[in-house]
Amino acid sequence: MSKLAIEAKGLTRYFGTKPVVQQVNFAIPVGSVVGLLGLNGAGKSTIIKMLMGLLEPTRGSCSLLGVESMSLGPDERSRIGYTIEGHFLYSGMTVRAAEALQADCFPKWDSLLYQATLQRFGISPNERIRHLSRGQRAGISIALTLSSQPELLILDDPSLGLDPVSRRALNETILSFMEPGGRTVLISSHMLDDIERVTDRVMIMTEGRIVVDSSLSHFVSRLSIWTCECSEPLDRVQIPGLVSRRQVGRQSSFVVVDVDEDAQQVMYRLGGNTVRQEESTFDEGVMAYMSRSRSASSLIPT
Amino acid sequence: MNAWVRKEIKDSIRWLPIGMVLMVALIWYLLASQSPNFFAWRAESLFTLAWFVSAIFATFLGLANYLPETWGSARGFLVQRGLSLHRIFVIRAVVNLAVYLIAMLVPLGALAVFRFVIGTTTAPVSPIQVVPSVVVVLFSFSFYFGAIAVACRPCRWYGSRLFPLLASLAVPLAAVPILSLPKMLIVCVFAFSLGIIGMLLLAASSRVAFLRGPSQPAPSRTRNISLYEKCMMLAAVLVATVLVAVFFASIFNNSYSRVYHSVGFTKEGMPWLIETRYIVKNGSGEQLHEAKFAISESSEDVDSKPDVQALMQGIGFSYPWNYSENFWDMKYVGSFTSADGYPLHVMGFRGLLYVYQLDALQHSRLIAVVVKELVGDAGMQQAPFEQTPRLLTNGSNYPPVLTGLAFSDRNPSSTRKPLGAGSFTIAATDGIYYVDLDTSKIKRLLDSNVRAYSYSSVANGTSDSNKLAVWDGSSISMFQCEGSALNGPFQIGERITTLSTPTDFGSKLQSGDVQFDYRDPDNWAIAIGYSRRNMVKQKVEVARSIQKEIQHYTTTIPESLSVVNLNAMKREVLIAGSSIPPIVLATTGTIAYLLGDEIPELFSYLRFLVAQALLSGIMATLAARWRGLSARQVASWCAGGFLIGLGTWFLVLSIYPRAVYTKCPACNRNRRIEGEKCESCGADWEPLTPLGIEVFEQKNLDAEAIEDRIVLSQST
Repeated sequence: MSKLAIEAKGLTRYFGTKPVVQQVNFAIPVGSVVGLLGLNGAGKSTIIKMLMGLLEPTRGSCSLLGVESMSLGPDERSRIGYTIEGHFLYSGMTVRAAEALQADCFPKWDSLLYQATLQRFGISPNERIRHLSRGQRAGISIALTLSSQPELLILDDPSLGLDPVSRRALNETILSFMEPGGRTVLISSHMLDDIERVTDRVMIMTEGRIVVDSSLSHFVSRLSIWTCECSEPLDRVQIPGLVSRRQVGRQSSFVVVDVDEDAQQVMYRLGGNTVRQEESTFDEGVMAYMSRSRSASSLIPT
Repeated sequence: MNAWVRKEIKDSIRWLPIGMVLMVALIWYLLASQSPNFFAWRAESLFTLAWFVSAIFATFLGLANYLPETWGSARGFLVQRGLSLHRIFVIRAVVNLAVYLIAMLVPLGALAVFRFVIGTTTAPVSPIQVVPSVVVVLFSFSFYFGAIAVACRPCRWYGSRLFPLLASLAVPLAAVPILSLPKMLIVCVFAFSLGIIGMLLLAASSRVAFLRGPSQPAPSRTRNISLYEKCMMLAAVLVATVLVAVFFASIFNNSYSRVYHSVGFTKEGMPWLIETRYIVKNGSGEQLHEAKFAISESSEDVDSKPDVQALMQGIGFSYPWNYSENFWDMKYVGSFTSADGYPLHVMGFRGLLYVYQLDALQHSRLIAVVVKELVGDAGMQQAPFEQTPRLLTNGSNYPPVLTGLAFSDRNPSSTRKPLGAGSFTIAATDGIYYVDLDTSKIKRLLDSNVRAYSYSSVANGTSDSNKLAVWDGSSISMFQCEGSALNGPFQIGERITTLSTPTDFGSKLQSGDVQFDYRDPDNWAIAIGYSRRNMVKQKVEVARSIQKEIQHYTTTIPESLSVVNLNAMKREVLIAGSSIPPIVLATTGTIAYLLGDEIPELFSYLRFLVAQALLSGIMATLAARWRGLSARQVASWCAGGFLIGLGTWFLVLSIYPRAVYTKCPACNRNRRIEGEKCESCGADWEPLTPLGIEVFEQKNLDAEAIEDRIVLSQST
């Protein structure tokens, strides 16, 4: 049995002539909980679809539980849990019928867990899915996924469009699922506090490539925030390791990775005595990478 | 899996009413618009409409079940379960087939039961008439598989996405020969076999499309195209090409309408062929053209024989598509009818002769059913009539008069003279009978084989009702008739004479028509015109008795007067026809040649065929190179172009996704994005340029490193 739950080698995908995922390499060992972050269009869902065998890579390969993604069979799939972006369900069914359908396809089905998850979201088994709210549908979706007792769980933006109560219920469900340990989870989300809370490793994507693949603590330790008062237009500033910059009035702030002497010199030249250094938080670090994506063209280092 | 079966049943059964409504609408259409017309209840009418309806419903069923799952989320939800897609496909196919059959066959079955048992129509019907429709419904399930391929193949809607439906069209074509049973039994068996193979190929192709899913949008690596998909696309292209060719050919072909031939004789007794053409050019009106030429191989100028007269009228070559009786329908026996109350005779099923009468309001009414088999050799016998008057229906849409039936070799025929409503004369193969409905009696007037019969002609197409000619296949017997056919008993009197005809004339009756003229036992003529399968080579044979000496003439109508070379047959028709795939034309042409056609008309397309093959070979080569195929594949498709024709170009473009290139940094030449190495210089892809902001906890983390780490942690 492979010790790697997920592996991607040189994963590349084009849509038309546009590369949306470029030479992505990563490996997730069994038992890891990994967060996949990035702006909309960064390539997260494309990677997940390739992992799930729903999209064929243009180049490279990927595998789940040691099996090539495009060759995943029913046996492997019954060991994998996958919640789809938007929580697609057969809306004409009742909640009970949805369970019957799913239980028929997964040998390790846990009906008690299903019932418990439904209770957490306040859903009656006799209700028809099309009559439920978005949060309740998400609850059914996650219940259907988790009750199959998957070894590998892949969640594609599970909290998308949910209200805070539903989000909290969702997080509690996922956390309780991971409690026993030994289960591998890959979760893609925009909810940074959710990611920080449940994952021990994070991957950040910008423009189809992975720029961060690290544990949370290591990631935060490599970043620093520099602030100063500066009148010079920031778009002309070039700092080695600069992830992002912000300017509010005269106050400018820079998020820099692995600050070296050259970077410090540039900063002191800009701000003089007003320069201050702070440690970055997880949120700030991720936000820096994401906001960099928005204005990536002006940040390419020389 | 049971839950999945239940889900599929629930999903599919909701479409059941739509299918049933469609089929019921078809039946309603027949009932409402053409019910009194016997043609409406011909098996082939029902066959055509059943084909249409079942194709629509099968396509709808396939699209309704599969198209919603082509989008990412639905597809993901479907795929991600411990149930193989193959099993899902099979479950769906079985469930949908059941729904399809229920929707299509229950109305047809109800129709059969209703028509046969309850009987609300004036026409003789039988449940067996729905059999061809049932067969075409079964074969039309191919559209379901075609629709699945349409839904699942990752192609553009304005591209080749709908092609599988064209391939689906080819499968129900296999059901068509059933209409020609029992004559075409071998062809029917062969066609059915091909149809079943085609259906299986389509099913396999749609299965592959479903399994691979719609998630392979171009550009992608040149995926391995399954053999099934190639077969499907090939069939689609062939059907498309033939349809286009036939469409254009039919447009241009409409410029001529009819050609008639008759035989005339000079005073010296020399037969001449008189050809009359009615030509309609693009709806501009009918133009009459007439030509005359000697049947013997005389070089005499036509204009030098101005006194040629047609002694007989009406030699017209029977075109095979004009009227063909089949195994499933009732036989029309002299559909001579009018508003005057003359009876209409229809040979129905089980050997029953149905007699209908029109009333003043043009309604037909079944007045008697005659059981022919029970008529014995005795002259007069009580006829066991089955009186079953049914509903009055509108009889205004009766079919046109079928003039050729009088010489049918198999079916009983009525006299051409209309008789009174209460009595009529019918000619059966074993004799001629007089039926008196008022007294319920049948009298055999003539005990003889009747291959064909006619009142003898006098001149210019008028007939002498006092002389009846009966042809038993080898000789013609002339009888004196007595009494009026309209107003009293009809009697066949003494045999006047017996005339020997050429023995092989009878065998040519299947495809030709006959003229007969009788003056006296020493002066008569019989002429037969026929053609073999295609209408290019038409022949006329004449047996002429002059003063007890029988002369035999035969000639082939010059190609200048044949259908192909008529002025109306434009060159565009040849071009359109030649766009049919070369391999199809060559095969059919060769078969036609081997079967005895002297020069198949297909060979007329030869020059266009060669041009098409060359052009399509070049175009296929260009398309294959455009798609970035290997040299070997390009050569194969070039050869395919020669065989398949212009459709190959579409075939290559539809099978292979568009190739996408990018500049190779090593050699600065185009390379395909899906290749691991550059086709020109063999270089690998260069690693991405670092952005300078990467954070990797363990750089170049690869599988081996993780494995090592795990092993290390376990050991410690």
